[in-house]
Amino acid sequence: MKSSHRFHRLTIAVLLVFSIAALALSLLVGSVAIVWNDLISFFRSGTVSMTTMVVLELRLPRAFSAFVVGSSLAVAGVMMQVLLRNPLADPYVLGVSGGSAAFALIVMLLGLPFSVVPIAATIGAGFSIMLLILLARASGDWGSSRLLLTGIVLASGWGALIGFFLSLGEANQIQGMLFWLMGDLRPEWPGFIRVLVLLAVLIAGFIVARDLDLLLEGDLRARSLGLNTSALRLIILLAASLLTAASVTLAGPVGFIGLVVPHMMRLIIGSRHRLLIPVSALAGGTLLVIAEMIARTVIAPQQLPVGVITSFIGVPVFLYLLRRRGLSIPS
Amino acid sequence: MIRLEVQCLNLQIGGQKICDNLTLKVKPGEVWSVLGRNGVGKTTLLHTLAGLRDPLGGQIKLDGLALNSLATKARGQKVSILFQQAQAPISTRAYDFVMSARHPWISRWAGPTRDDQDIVVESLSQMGVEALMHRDVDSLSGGERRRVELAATVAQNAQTILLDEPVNHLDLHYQINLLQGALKKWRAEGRAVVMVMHDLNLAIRFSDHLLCLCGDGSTLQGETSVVATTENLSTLLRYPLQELTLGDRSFFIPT
Repeated sequence: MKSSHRFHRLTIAVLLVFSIAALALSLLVGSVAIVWNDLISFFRSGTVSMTTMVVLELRLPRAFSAFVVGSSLAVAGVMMQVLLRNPLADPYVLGVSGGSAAFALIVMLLGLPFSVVPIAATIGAGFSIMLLILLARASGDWGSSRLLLTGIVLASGWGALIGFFLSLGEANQIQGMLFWLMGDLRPEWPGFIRVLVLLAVLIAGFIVARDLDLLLEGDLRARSLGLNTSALRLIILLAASLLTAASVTLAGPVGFIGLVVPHMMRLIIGSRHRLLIPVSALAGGTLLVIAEMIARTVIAPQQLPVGVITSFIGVPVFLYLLRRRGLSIPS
Repeated sequence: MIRLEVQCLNLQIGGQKICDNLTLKVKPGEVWSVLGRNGVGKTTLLHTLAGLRDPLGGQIKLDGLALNSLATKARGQKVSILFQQAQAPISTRAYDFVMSARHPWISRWAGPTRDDQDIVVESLSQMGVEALMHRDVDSLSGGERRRVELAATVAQNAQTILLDEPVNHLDLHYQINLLQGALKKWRAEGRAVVMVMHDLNLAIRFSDHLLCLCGDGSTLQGETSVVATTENLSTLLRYPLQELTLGDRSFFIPT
């Protein structure tokens, strides 16, 4: 037991170092080369040069946003995997991001005030999860491939709806919307509420971590051991919806982070949520910061939507998991 | 003092009556077996007694307290259930599986204590599976897994214990040793045990009371020696049985 504690602490430490290194690297890498003297003079005397402006106003907010979105999606993935008891559950694959984006898009095209968009996105995500549960539950077995099929069909349904609304949009809006829908990070701070949502879910996740472990052992057993499973499910549903909406409204539907990251972390530290949630948050953030860095350097000076990069990573991993592990959650 | 009390319980599944106005009193130290044909609702009855399913009518009390008035965690401290089948293909270490049975006793803030850890190890060794502690439950054989599940029942430390086919998958010597050992201990500790057993003769051998579900909502209950007659059991199982006596024990076999 003792040695495993040390291993867990080591894992967290290593991930912390990785995430800080990724953030730092992301500030230094890009189409405008860093002039060290400029940075030094900024820190010495506050002189703002071209370099410092690029770093402070473009790269820093975008890197930070990437971290928040990556963390949120990874934790949303963990939550959905518990809720649906399926290791392949992911907000993007099962159409939850799509539902969130579609609702957000409708509100935008209707010309409603911008403040309504995040609410619509949250409702869209929650609605999509509930639809998924209702449609897939008939079989009574969460581990079934029926869930995946239902989710994937829902995702393409949302995709079609989004396509329909896009074609109604005006030509000058479409380029931006298309980019957003592929998962795109702009040089924009993540905003207080998104950080708050992430922190709140991390804290709540820590508090109910043991309950989540128990829920994974099956509904009947969890209930017989004194867990109020319907209340817990509601909390998870809310957490997953909020996190998905927070990231979709900021960066569009970025795929596969919620699938790849929790899976890698489970292989390293197991399925105990007390550790899995914070560790996934760190790793998810780091991964998206790196993906974002690749997205804007690989064909520089042009930029790729970051969702393209995550899909390049995620699709092979998803197919591999589907083939290798089947549908059970490794311990 | 009554551990488990059932008053006027009405239960149905798919329109079929399981029991109609069932009244039952299980006292500390008693072991009851539920008998009946396949699909007669034995498992449903057990789930209802565990509070996992609401009855159509009637009341269930544990140590004098109404089951539906208990908080979920308090219920988990008072009654435990061993399910007939493993819930799902989730893999977890045997140690963690048994530790999760301590959930009703573990404080959300403090987490498992040294006591909990000791109880888990003791329970595993009581069922003879402490060597499998670090193995994945998924990698165990059916019988090993069943003993890990029984260890979890022990660890939950409830005064009322419901067992759905506890010796499923077990080798013969484990069936006997386990039932003998565990039931003797539970009887001595004043717990109440209600079990569903597939094997009629094991049920008769190890329980002091029988509850028979006849399939039309009517029930028959009482001390084993009174209820277990060729006539009753033949009617219940809808197949003529014959009683064989060997020493001071009776066996019922199909004619």
